[in-house]
Amino acid sequence: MINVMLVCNAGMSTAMLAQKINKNCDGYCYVEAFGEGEYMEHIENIDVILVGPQIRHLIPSIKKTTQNKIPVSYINPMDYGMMRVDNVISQIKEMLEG
Amino acid sequence: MKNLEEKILEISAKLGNEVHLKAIRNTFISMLPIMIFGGIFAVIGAAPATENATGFMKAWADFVSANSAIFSWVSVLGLGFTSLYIALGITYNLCKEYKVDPLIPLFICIFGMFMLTVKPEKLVYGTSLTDLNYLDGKGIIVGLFVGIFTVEIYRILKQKNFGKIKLPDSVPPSLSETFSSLAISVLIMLFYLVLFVIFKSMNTTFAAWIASIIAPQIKATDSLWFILLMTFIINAAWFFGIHNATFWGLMGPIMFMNLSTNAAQQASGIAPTAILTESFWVYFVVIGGVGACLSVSILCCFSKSEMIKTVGRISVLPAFFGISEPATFGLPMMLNPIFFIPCAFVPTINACIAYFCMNTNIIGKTYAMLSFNMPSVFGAFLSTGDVKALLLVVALLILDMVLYYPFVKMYERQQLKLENKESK
Repeated sequence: MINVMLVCNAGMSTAMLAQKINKNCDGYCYVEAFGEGEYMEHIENIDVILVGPQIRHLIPSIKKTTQNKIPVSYINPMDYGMMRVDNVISQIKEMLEG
Repeated sequence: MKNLEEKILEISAKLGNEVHLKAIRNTFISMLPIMIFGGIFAVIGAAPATENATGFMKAWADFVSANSAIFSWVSVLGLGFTSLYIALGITYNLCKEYKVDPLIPLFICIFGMFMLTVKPEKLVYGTSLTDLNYLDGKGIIVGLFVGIFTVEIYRILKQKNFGKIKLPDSVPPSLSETFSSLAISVLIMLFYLVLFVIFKSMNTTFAAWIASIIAPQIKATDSLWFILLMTFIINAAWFFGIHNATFWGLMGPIMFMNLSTNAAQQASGIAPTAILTESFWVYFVVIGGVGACLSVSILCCFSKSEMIKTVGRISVLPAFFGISEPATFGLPMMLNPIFFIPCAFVPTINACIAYFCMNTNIIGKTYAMLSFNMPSVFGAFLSTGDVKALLLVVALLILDMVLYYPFVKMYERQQLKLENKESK
């Protein structure tokens, strides 16, 4: 199972998405949401990090914290807002393959 | 547009990644439990003064006046200790950032905070009388200073191996490590002690001195112009999809200072004086999250466009609880030229009206903060204890809907055209 981490400002709006993905991904991945102040304590065993578009400017610092070992990107804003789980899952797949 | 977005992202990245601002920001997030606990007591403690009340209201008022000491004490240790909590939070978060063990810096931080903010009145064996006044919002600058200064000096001297005594190889290395922390700690504490002695000789404290010097600047931040400027900047940044927390390193201290001042005044029976608090911001200005999105979500629910209607349905509940991401990114409002003007100006208009109402005492000022997820209508009422505040928020929400209406309609026409094309 793939471990996905969602990061946003306080881990609140991404938590809604995380819950939805976990319900609808048929066991493809397990998603957890964290706030920007705490995520670094939970990066062990994480395969992909997706950040909310509202903190996409923090990606460079997240890459630095994770020493570039984990792929980091931001969730497509429209998919994030509309909670389009399928698109986010395919984004995760793309990141892992690409 | 693309260039402008890149520029703004660049600036936000600088603000967002700056370690001290980040530490301050994360401190405010972690202060939530303290704030809510204090807030609840402030709300209960603010029982309406009803002389000829009966039943529940009278029981409530009686209960509060009989236990006023308890309520006051919670107020002192809650928001009344704001600066101490902030200093501790910054120390902890900075240590985490620099990967330094935080325990000793936290001890030094407490030592420094009391040295710089507290003036002992009477110290004899068994009795200590002190004035804790400047540990609240008034001492916030000292809190920021002690938090940052303690960790920075501690870290730099540690890196330079300051005070590391050369011991024979047979001595365990952890021992020389302990000695090095000891020397650095003593040095930092001596610095705080010297400041204390200097200001004591002038019969004041560092905190009181700083507060008296920056009082005019602080006053200036509670003005309409500053509030409007910041409201505009933060909401305009939201249009570019930049989270408002980016600015919290600056806004947080100001808002907390004001809130704790208001809470202290309220607890001692004086009408609160400051306007710009986090409750003012969350409940009156950005109703439904940044961009004042609750109004947009409601309008979208009644749209003729299937797509807009879907966004409305998804986003209206989160917006009710102060989360505007679904509306902002789903519609999208972000980088959507139609929405720039309302996104930046509607909250600014809210701020303007709410400021006017509070400044002229039409509605009470805020003295409690109860999490930004508290829906605005309840939050406005509870944080001011004023039913008129609830009415104002409802009125503002309706006004926001009127202001957003033409823009949502414009976007709807655009979407309907697209949807018709697709169905053909």
